[in-house]
Amino acid sequence: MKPEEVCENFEAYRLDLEGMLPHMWGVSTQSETGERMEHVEFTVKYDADEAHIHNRLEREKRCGTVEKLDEHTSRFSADVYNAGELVPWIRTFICRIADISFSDKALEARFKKDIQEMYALYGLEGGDGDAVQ
Amino acid sequence: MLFSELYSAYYNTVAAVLRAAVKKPLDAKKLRGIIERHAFGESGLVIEPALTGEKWQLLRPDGSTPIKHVPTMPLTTLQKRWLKAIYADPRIRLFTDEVPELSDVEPLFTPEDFYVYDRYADGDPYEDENYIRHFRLVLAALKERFPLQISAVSARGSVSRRVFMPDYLEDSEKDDKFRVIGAGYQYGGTINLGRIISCEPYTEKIRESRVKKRRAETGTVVFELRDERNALERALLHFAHFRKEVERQEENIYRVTVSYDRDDETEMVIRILSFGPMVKVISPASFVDLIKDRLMRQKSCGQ
Repeated sequence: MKPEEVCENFEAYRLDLEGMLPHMWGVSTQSETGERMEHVEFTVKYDADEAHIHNRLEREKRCGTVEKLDEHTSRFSADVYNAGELVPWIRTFICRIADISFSDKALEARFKKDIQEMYALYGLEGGDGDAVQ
Repeated sequence: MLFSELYSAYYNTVAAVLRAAVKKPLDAKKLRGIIERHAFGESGLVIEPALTGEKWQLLRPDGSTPIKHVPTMPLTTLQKRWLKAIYADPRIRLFTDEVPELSDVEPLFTPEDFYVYDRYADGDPYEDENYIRHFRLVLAALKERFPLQISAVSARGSVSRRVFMPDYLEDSEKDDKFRVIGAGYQYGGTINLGRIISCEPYTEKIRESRVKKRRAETGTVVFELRDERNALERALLHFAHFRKEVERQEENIYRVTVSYDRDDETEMVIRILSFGPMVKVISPASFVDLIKDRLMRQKSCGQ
């Protein structure tokens, strides 16, 4: 499309978009792996007085589903075109990510390596080893 | 193109001149005064001679006008279409019950034409009658400067009741919420409009000695940013609405200083965490500790 051009198929494109929105986190509709769809899920742990963490998942998720596994654990999962777009948001839960899995294993490895790098940045490396399973 | 020259400063100025001249002929001083009030500083150089020299044949040499009726400025079709689009926003009902139908035009755009992908899911209920009533009362209180008695539920579910003097309203496109900031008995602060349970004018005399202003404390955080994976552009966009300084240190290393409201410190911590190893907080030590604490807790999380 170019500015000032009338799009003949506007309604058809809009319908297409509506079908795609449940799988879009940002604006990307293509994965880095070439797969049509990528799966991502992670669980967060929280204390009894931190119910707002579950609410954060609910209100901030742009697609996907949130389940309460027990009083202290919630899981987010989604099938999206580009799982890389979720990484910054997932990092906002650092300190309570108990488990994380991407169908794109290279992305998963990078996510975990990034966390290790963050430990190193602040002199926290060593000790407990890989904290995210 | 949303601009019509019909509504430019020149047209508005000449309309104001004619409104005055229809009643009574204008002398040079009055004419100049009207032009100065309505137009740009240098506009008098054009408008005044064009009117007095009868290049624009709207004033006679004696300052009277051949026009008999006060000029009106009807809305253009484009303006009506724009208004119709704006009136479709549910938030308009917070301000007025009288929304013109404008049945002769199509809206310029509709809410369905926009998709805000990063808007949170728990926006304020703009069409709820109680919400509208609370909003209007808060708006009236801050315009007319009267105190309110507000009961509101906190994020943790407890209910607080306070006497509150609103200073201003804020809205957040991302949160899809309004909040009011003001002073109050015991403590001032911020109240989310969506959390208000009841709101009434406070009719008793205010004891000034008990009123506490909200302490708008500003924090500053300094971090080093490694510009990989487009991090600099993402950070500048992400922190666009904060006061900040960015200084280039090395080839792809930048030192960024961001000022923020201390009430939003947790938000700032998680925003910084979202950049992963691209960002390292340098100071203050207390902020570094906040990041370290989260990383330490993460380290023990998966075990």
